[in-house]
Amino acid sequence: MSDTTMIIIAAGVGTFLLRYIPFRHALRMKPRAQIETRGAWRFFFTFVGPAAIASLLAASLAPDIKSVGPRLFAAVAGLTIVVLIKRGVGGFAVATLAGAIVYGLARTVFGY
Amino acid sequence: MFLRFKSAQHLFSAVELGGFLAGMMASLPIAAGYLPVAISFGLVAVGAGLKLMTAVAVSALLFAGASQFVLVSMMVSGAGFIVSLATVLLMNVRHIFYGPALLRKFTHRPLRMWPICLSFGLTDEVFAASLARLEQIPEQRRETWFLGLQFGAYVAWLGGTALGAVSGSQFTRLPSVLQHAVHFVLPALFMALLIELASREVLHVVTVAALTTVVALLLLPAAQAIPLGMLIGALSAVWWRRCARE
Repeated sequence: MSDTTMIIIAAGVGTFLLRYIPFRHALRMKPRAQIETRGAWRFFFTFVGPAAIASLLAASLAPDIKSVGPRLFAAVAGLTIVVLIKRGVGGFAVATLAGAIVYGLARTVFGY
Repeated sequence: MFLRFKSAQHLFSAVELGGFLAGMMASLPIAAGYLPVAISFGLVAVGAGLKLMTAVAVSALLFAGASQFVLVSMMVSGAGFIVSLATVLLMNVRHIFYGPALLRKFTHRPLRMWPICLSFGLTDEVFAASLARLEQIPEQRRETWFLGLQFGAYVAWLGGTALGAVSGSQFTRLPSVLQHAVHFVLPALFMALLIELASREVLHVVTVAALTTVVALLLLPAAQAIPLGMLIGALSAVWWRRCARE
């Protein structure tokens, strides 16, 4: 087996285990009632999800935030459309795609 | 076969198939966001000297965005086995929180599917979409819906990689509106998902996590800034609760 193959397989298995082991562990630890974990951990696992999405959003917007100017404006326009459509219509697929199109249009129109 | 069905009739029941297809439909925005990134990965991997099948194998085995780019660049630069592996795992270590957080949405016990199926495709985007939407899915459909969501995202990731490896340069011929738009699909998706979860209770957690990430990005790479923002955001909820009690 070549070094390349070994690295790819090890990285794949390692990444999978990072997803699988905590899932499996939580499943074993929490038969039904214990899913509602107590105390601080309950709060932690309730809010780690929204915190993760907020962090991912911030990181994915970083290039636009750093650039300041037309690119930032395009991002603000795109996000505004997402909010408006999500609040008004409700579906998240339409809101996502509309936001992306508005961002693309704004960047094209403003030439950046 | 990874599914624990009592009979073949159950396997093909409308509920299971309907849940799976609904999950696949829900994966469309994720797929739209994945395609350009996966095409770029295929292009980069082949450009770095990997064969088509090796590039697809990386996507098939890792299914983990940015860490795949890093893995390829480390392989090309001749970084050793241990260093490459450690870097990839550190980049993906945030995934350890996803399973336990998501499991709370699967109220049916025992799970009908093996955890191996439910955790394989637990990427950032799949986690975010599931977290926001699982509660709206009828309980008996949740597992198959989640599997369909992962499957749709996985197919887009593999297809995009293969497409990029074969003909990625064609991508630059798209109209500029679309070229720009595809790079904003994932931020738009995250925004829509956040609105889905929005509540006064969540607002300060979201604010703390986002601000921490933005500040951390000034000093750290995204792979470290994201888990840091995540942790501090979630820990702020715990701290907030303690303050409220006292």
